[in-house]
Amino acid sequence: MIESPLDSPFHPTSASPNSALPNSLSLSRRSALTLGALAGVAALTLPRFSANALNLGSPAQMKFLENAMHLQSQFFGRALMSTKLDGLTPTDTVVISAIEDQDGEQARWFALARARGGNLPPVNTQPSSLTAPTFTIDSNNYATRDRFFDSALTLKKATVGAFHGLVGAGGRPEIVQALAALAGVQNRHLAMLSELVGKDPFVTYVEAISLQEAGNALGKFGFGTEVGK
Amino acid sequence: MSEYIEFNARRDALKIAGMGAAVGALALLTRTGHAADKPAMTAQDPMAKTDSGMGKMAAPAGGDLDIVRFALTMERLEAAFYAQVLTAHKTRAFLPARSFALAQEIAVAEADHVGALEGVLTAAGAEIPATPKFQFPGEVFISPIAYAWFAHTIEEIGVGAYLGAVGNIQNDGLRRSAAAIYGAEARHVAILRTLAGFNFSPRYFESPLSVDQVTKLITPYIVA
Repeated sequence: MIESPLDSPFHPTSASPNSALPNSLSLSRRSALTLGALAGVAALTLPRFSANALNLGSPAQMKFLENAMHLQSQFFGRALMSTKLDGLTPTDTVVISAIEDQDGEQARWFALARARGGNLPPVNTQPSSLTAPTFTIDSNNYATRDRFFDSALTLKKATVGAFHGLVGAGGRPEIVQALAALAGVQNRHLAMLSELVGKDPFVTYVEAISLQEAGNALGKFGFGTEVGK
Repeated sequence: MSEYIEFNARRDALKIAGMGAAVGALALLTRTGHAADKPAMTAQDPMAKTDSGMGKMAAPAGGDLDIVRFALTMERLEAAFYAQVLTAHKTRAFLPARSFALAQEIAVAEADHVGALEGVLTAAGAEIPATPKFQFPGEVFISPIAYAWFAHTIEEIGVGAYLGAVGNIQNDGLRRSAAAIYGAEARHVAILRTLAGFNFSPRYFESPLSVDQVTKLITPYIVA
């Protein structure tokens, strides 16, 4: 099973995931499970890509993205440990924890790509350790639940906007696809954070922005990595 | 209630499916021209701006139009599904309030996507494919759990289909808009998954689907 974009090629194939598609449209439990399984198989049954075929950009750009994901992971991780931030619901903590983990994984993904000089790493080459910068995040961001989620949404919008900007910028199809794959998850995070505070999770439109603009927005959270060339 | 609620359409809809991706979202193509005119990260209703900006985008051509056509099929399927859900709910209020409110919102979005995609084809001088006839499992119009499960599944297919094609979009404006709409579709998925009792984001990456995969997954719901 493919566990990460490091393993996945982002090259959809003509693999036939639906040889057992239900003949009847009746959504029996069996057919429902079958369709779900097929969708999952379709998503995960992917060919390998050439590890040397891709380049994500300059080391500075990759470092920027890697650190941006580290910042997010730390931002959400600290929320779970903050003594000032009470009032989080059990659902809040589950969502925040998941976001912390996935942002950390995305940071790892960029770190691996950077370590390979911009080429996406081969399968199963997880590093034994990952050195992450420590960001000075204003404790006021954790003063109240409302304040925290307000800051969290600001952070996520900037990140989503940056990813959309990168996808929109084009380039090699595999690179665009890989960045979009990560962007989709950031959008999921944004939706859930909005939902948790009673904001409409769907109507928020996030404009594509440049990395420089994203860096400016993230600067409020102690982010100081230069975009680079 | 009949087992299936059918929508009018014609048979050859899936013929357009030989190409790009079911960009479950390309509908905001129309937004492209606005990016430079607005402050970054503007939060607003994306649907509010679909009536302008299209003229500022260079007309897509070739393979991009194939992608738009296929996206149109996927969007029509999604729009038909949510329209049927709302119709069914009128006669039998089977959805909880929150699910119903979200379904209403998504229905509007998907219908708008269809209109925008058709607009892109028209602007490019391309023929708009005939609308297929869709049918869905009857249970999804009775059970809120079945609805949520089915809804998030077709949205996941849309996201995967989009991801399978986004790298191949040549027109910069189209790709930028596609990225925005793809994001909106991913947000749909996250919330619908929670309604179905699933983790809102099971992985730290999305997975692409090929045209063949998408076609085979949605074919059972296109009857003519």
